[in-house]
Amino acid sequence: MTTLGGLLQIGRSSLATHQAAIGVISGNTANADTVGFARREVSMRSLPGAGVGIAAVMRRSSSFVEQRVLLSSARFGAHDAKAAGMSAIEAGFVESDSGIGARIDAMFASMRTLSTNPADLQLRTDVIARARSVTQAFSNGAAAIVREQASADAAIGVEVARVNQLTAAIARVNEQVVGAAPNTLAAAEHLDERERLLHELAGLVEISTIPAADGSMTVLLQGGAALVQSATAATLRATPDPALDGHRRIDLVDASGAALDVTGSLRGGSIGGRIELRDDILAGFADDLDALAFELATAFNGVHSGGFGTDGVGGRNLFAPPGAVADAAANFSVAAGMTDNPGWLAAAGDAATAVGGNDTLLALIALTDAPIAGGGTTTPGGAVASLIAEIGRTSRAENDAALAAGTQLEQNHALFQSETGVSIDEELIDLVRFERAYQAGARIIQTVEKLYDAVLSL
Amino acid sequence: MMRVTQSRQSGLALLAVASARARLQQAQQVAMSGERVSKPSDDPAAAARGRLLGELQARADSHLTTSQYGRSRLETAEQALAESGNVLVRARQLAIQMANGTMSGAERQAAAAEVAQLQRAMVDLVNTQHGDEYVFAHVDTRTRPYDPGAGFSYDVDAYSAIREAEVGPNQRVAIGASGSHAFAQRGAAPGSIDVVAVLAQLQANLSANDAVAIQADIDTVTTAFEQVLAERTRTGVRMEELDRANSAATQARAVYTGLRSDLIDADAAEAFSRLTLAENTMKAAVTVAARVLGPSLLDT
Repeated sequence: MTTLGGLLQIGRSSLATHQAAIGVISGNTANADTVGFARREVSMRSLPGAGVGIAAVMRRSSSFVEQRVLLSSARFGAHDAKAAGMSAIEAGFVESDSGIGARIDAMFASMRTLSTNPADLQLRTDVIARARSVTQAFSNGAAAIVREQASADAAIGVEVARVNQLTAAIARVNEQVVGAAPNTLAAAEHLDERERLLHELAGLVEISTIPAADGSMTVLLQGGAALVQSATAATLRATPDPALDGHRRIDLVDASGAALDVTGSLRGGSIGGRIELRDDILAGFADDLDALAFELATAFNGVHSGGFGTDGVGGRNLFAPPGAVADAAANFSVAAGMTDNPGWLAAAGDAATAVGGNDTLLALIALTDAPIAGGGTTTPGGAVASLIAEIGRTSRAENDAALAAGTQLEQNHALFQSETGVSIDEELIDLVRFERAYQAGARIIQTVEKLYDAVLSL
Repeated sequence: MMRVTQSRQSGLALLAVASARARLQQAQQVAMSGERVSKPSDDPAAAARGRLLGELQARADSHLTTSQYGRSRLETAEQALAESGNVLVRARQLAIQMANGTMSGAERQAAAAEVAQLQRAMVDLVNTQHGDEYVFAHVDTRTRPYDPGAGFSYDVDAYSAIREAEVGPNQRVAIGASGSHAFAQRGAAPGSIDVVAVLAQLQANLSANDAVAIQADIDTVTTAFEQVLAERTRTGVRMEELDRANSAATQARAVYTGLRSDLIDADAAEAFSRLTLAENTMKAAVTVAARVLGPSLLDT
């Protein structure tokens, strides 16, 4: 039989337990909008003959959904970084009077005008100015690509530093989780913190996680290399590499100091996206631009050198001959001396008609329809149109992919929220429930007090 | 049953409003710029086709410019040839009059003076300029093609081709007249005659009061006239060809402009209806977001 003292103990345990439960509810309610906060749930247990007590404070979690969130964060980070870079590049290839295509059109138009009066110095000067404008459009395009590559490279440097901060913090939290008693408020705080760190890390690089029995979390980089293992964090090292045009190579450096080049295997997260943008997408467009500049310069020079300037001298180039396809767009320029000597422009097809002849000029104009670009498969205008279409397609594909990845990330966040988030309605219902239970506990104590009074008044 | 938390609800509301705002911004951009494709990613295929149409449009513009300049140059040549014909007609009239045996030596001297003047006029016509170019020069267009003392400044047998200009796709037209064909005696063309020399010969025969020689000059002046007339006829044909090219370029330009506009430009009615739709969607998203975030047990 329970003594009056025992009854008092039961009442006291009820008050204490439900007060603690209300404390947890208050914490949940207060953190309803805290990013990374997972709902705590009080688990009570019966104390034989002594009432009730807190068995555990459980933290809601879902490792399956969390993996999906991490993966979709990495995908969104990659596509978003590529979409932003492509938008910047695309702006340089918008159809306008200053576009490459329009400038080539203007150069051919100036040649047609000159062909009607080949000795006219003003018209010759105009053709050379238009040719220079074409070369500037190419070098501007090449410079824009280089700028965007440099911008992506700089961002990679900053983000690698952030990755190292996050992995170090995750390793530290791993240690705290292992040290904390399981299923306590303190442990839950550490798990919240680790989850926040992992979510941010997943936006930077694609990761997967493996929980260990001791509560620590192993974080693997895309490709399987360990970024964090228990309380040890590897670091990423970004080093300028001549083999990458001076851009940063990414090495994974483990605790022993051994380095592994992971540049080629990083494709997820904003760092992976920027690497792909820098080394594959933009480098591809730079190659296309170089090839077109090389082909234009070579074809025009081939025709021009067969003609004669007004001084009767032949064999001159219109454009500075490109030494190689590489960097041909950046170095594209009108031949030295041409700007100051418009008479050097070879309009005539023979020395005798050097002043007034236009045969070479007509041959240059005919290049409009000649398959001199794309490896001899298309016209200059066709090549520019193809380049614009390719840039547009890539930009659109990345924007669409970023949009889709963003939606997927949002859906996974929703799923994660539904699993772990705080619902004010639920908390209010629990609050009322625990409040009633607390009042009931108080009533037990009041009743015991009355029983004592009854006994004492005998 | 899926748990729905308040932060999830607010996240969804934010997403819906952000998405509506993005669509509104795009609709506003199209309505303001009047372009459906303002950057390649809006419609990559249309942007590429628009570029190619832009090239064709620019080329048609350029062909209009060359054909207009060519016509101006041809008109100058044609007028010079017409005037040359008039000079030769007058010379032939004088030759016919002065071949008559009733004419006195004094009258033939007076006629000789007039023919000398006609000869100078003819030299000026052979040296006709269009802008700063000698229109009948085949080699160096900045140098007078004919000098009264030395004759033609270039080899008339070697050079008779006329400058051509591109006035349409794969279409070139000669934009001038041949001084060699119109005024020179060429070895390659038996029966051709040096027009200035014909006048000089007539003038000499008039001065010499040689009625028989003057009679013979009537035929040579006639031959010279026909030679000039033949080149004038060819020039007229070129002008017609140029006019056709000009007309074709004008039509091509209109077609390319229309096609490019269909591809790139936004339809005003469609742009504004899309803008209105986007504005309404935006208003609806904001209203719904406010309602979604409202109800809670806290309200009870």
